[in-house]
This record gives sequence, C-alpha cells and structure tokens, in this order.
Amino acid sequence: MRTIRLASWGLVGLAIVAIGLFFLFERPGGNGRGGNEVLRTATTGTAAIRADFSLVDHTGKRVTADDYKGRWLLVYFGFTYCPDICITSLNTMHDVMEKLGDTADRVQPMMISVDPERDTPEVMARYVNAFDKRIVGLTGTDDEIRHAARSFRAYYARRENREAPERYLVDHSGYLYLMAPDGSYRTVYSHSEPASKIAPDILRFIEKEKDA
Amino acid sequence: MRERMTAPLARLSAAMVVAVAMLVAAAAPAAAQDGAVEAGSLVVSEAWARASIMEGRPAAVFMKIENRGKTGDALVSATTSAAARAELHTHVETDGVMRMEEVPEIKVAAGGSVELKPGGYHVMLFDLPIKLKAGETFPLTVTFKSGMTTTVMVSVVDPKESRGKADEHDGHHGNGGGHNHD
Repeated sequence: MRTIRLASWGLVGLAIVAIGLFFLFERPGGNGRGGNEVLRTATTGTAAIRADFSLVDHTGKRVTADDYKGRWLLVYFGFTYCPDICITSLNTMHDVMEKLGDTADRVQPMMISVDPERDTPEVMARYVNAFDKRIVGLTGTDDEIRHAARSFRAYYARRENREAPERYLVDHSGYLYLMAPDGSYRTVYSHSEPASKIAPDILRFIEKEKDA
Repeated sequence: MRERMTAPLARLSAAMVVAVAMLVAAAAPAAAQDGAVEAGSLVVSEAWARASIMEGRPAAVFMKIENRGKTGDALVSATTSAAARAELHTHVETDGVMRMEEVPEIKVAAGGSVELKPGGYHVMLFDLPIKLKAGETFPLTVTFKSGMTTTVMVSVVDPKESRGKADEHDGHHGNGGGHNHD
C-alpha cells in the first residue's frame, strides 16, 4: 500500500517536471500558448531565434540585419492588405516609440512584409509612414522573406481565395519581437499587449544590458 | 421550381435597398447623430471603421449589437454602398498566429449583446470603389437571422485615432504579461 502511494506521488512529480520542461522549451519568452502544431514546428527553442535577413527597405535600399547592428529591433511580420491586426500592431509600435522617450533613438521598429506580391517598397512606404516615420518597412522576394521569417521562427502562410484570387489573405504570427543590438532574441509581445506594458519592459531590457 | 432572380437584378435591388436606407438616414438626422438604430428588439450602435491607408485595401467595420428580446438572433449578412462585398469575419488566434476566417453568423443571445471589435468579429469590406476618409460616414445595412434588417451609419476614424478603441480591447488582456487568464 505504502509503495503504491509513494510510486503515485513519484509519477505526479515526474509529470510536473515534464510539464515544466515542455513549457520551458515550447514557449518563446513565455508568450504564446503552446500545444499547436504550427508553433511547435516553428519554434525550436529561444536560442535559435535571431535577426538574419537581406531585404529591401521602403526607400528601395537593400539592407541586411548587419545594417541595424548596435540598435535594438522591434520587429513585426505583417502585410498591408491586413485590415485589423496589423493596424493595431503598428499603432502599438508607434505608441511604444512615443513612450520610450529619449531611449527611442536606440530602438529601430520594423515591419517585414509576408506578402511580397502586393507589398512593393512603395506600398510599404505609404503604409508604415501612415503610422510612424521611424518605422522601417521591409519587403523582398518570396525566398528572401521566407529566409527572414525562418530566422525569427515566424510563421506565415498565404491563403488563396478561389472565388476572388486577388482577395487572398495571409495568416501570420501576431508577435512583436524584441531583438538585442547583436541581433539575438530577447522576447516577444503578443498583439494584444498594450504599449503601456511593452515600453517599460523594453526599457528594463535596455537598462539591464547597459550594466552587463 | 421558382424562377430565380438573376444576379444583376439581385444587385440592383440590393442597391435600391441601400439607396432607400440612405434616404431614410438622411431624413432622420436625429437617429444618425445618436448612432444607435433599432430593428425590432435589436439595437445596433457605435459602428466605426478605420480610414483606408491606401486604395485597394479592405476595411473592417466594428459595432455593438444588443438583443433586448426574449429570443436569440444572429447577424447573418451586411451590404453597403461603400464596398462591392461585405463578409462576416472573425480572428482565430492559435499560438500567436492570427488567421482571419469568414463566419456564417454572429450570434446575439436573448437579453445579451455582442461587440464587433479589433482582434475579434468584424464586417470585412472588400473592393471599395473609393477610399474611406476620416470624418466621413457611410451606411451599412445589416440583416439578422430573424429577418430583421436595419441600416446603421458607420463613422470613419483616423487609423491612429482608433488606438483608444483598440486599447479598450487591450484592457481586458492586461494582466502583467501573463497569458494564462483563459
């Protein structure tokens, strides 16, 4: 009887450790919910997420992740045909920049298009400038965008519309990624987190690493 | 077998409904000012959309729908002169991936209400002949499962001004960054 009780407690303990490990490795920065096929394949561990891209900015200039070395990056994957979530996220990006005060100079906000067919540099310029002149809009070829998204472990998938092909939509990760000045990953913020939560958190990261 | 309306005829009659609704809206400025319109026991209010950032982009319309009746109802369709096509959509979030999906209806329980808001249910407008401009309004005719129909005036706001509205939505999520509230 006693051995059975001990054994069952042991199993409970094992289960707790297993659940803990699962969340430790499955969740980027403690955000997201875990348990879905998409993210499980897209997220192979926080250490693997990094900024690695060669794209064209909204002024038509070819840029790589190295061009932004030395600055913190706030990165969002989206598309200009997106009528709701992307607008909310770019508004949040603008609000975050406002709330960062002088520290905003050390942060580069950017939107990377997941819809290269529609989002030319000119289109990106009109879109990002509508929110904040400091936001850089990046686009490129299918391959270049796929490469960039992979480096961030960001998910996107074009969904065709058979009835009206021009109305296709793109599913995409709704996160804002915070990347350190060396291009390494720090955390992600969900699209539903307000700027009033994100800005102080970014300031904490920047302050902490100043001393390090 | 009944004779079916041909597509152009259906479009024409839809356009006429909108035209009549616009006349009614114009003739009743008090209703337009208040923003709330009634259809039986349903009250539709605070309809808004963000101004178009550029041409050729879809738009999302948000609103509140209250059902003061004793039976449940559901929003099943919408039409507007501002767009060639209006669909009912919702957002499905799976592990941070946002996916927009068309839904057949948006339920409004008896004595309850539903809010179409950023990040959730919305009326998605496709193929807008002209851009939506901040400060303008346009009519949107909504039809319910019960057959009730009404036309609400949608206020177009600057995309930046919509922040406050989106923040109301964010407020429900604000719990210090933890996401285990559900």
